[in-house]
Amino acid sequence: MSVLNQLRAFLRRDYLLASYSRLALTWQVFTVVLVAPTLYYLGRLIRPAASPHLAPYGGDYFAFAILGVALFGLLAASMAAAAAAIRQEQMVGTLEMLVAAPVSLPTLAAGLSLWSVLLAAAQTFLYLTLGVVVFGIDLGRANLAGAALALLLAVAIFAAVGLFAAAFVLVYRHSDPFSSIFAGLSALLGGVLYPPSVLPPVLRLVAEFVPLTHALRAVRLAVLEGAGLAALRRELLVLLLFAAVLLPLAGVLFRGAVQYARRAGTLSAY
Amino acid sequence: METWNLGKTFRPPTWPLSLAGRVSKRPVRALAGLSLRVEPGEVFGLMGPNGAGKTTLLKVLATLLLPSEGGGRVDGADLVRQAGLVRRRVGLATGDERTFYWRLTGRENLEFFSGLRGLSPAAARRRTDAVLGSVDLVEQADEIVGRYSTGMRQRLAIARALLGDPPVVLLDEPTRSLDPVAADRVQVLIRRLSRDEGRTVILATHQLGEAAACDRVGVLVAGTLREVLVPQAVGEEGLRRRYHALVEVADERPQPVAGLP
Repeated sequence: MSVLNQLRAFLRRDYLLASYSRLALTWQVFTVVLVAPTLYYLGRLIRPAASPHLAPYGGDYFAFAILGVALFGLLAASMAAAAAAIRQEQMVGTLEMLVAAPVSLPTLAAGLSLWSVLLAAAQTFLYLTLGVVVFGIDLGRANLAGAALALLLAVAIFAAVGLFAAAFVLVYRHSDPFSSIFAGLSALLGGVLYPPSVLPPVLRLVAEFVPLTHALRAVRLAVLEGAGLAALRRELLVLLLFAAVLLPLAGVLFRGAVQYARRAGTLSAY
Repeated sequence: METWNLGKTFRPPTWPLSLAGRVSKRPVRALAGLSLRVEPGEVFGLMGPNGAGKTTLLKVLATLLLPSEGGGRVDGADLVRQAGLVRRRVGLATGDERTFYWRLTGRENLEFFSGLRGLSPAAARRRTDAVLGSVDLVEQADEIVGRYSTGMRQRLAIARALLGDPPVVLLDEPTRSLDPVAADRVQVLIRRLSRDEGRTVILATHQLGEAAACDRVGVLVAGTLREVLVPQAVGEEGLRRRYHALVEVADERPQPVAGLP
């Protein structure tokens, strides 16, 4: 109950701060409204038969791409949120008071990220709603439970990478380079706008070590082809493995970074 | 609250941590061998020149800094091993005005920090109303903090320190930058926290008058506790003379420590 109240406090604070200037919210909606039709008209260029790479996902480029863009936005936000929030608190001068409060470190990290992640989730939902309602994506065969499971694991993995970034920000008091590098490499290799099968063999091999590759493959197969848990098993196991390794490591590193800042006296520094 | 042989040395970080920015190249000892016991309900003043270690000590007691040596307990909870428990039992008001969200109102700020203490929204509202009343900020509660005066922010900081109803309150220069009337109001509040509510108050101050109102005053010089004075016994003038004698024989700033690795 106490943790729920703490998370609710973070959420309400961020809502109030966002309400102060609604520009960011407006911009996020505008982005979706602009990107979705762009992808739709791009999709009309690529006929299903023209690209065998799209065949495993039903052949419709628009459905393929909008799922990639929508999910990548959510995952990128899950990764960048904690580090960006900590940097913001450092700059404003409030970080020390957050640490002085009786909030556990996992709750602190989650609380600082929650608003951004929920906002990105709303953006993802808007992408998918536009895709289905306006541009006619067929979800009749979708295995939503399988897709949700893959997405949950992917969010956990990206949040873990985000904790690495947050640890960097705590120690160096500087925007982290990891989020951008990881997001850029993930977008390049993970199949946001094209299937990794179009990559050269070496990059295709590297792409197998990128969590986004497995997350997007699993979600697309579940949503567009209705693949069941048995068919998704390989991708889900890989995601589970990434999560099982990265989450504890990230937790230890984040805790270590907070301890370092307490030792060095840099919690109030920016 | 007690500490034993408490020390804090800021050591220069080694590579690659040193990439964080410009730092002192030699260790700086901010606190050394500090053993102190403050009784429940006591108002204990900390005096000393700038850089003497007052804020460092308050931050160690609030668990924002890890001590380098020695240890301490706050209301029975160990400063290092039970930091979470200490944070529940301590309220800290720093002199830094940047510790609030200036785009939120005073009430919204306090409700947020109440929520961080695990209070439900309804309980947070009640607690916020109560502490706003304690510091006479009810009428200004719904103004954004950016429009507050320095004195109002100081009182808001004290209100935040009281949100968790803590037995120990740490105040870092609570009357800094305040006009005499506002400073008097804070003084009255501090006495009330101690005498009426039984809280232990530890406050860092440069004001002799403020120190004279404390039950005891510790004089910190270059990170060491030089003497503990009882203002009621020596009087304000006696306090002033003794303080000057202690400070003027010492180099007042924390010194890089020779011989430390």
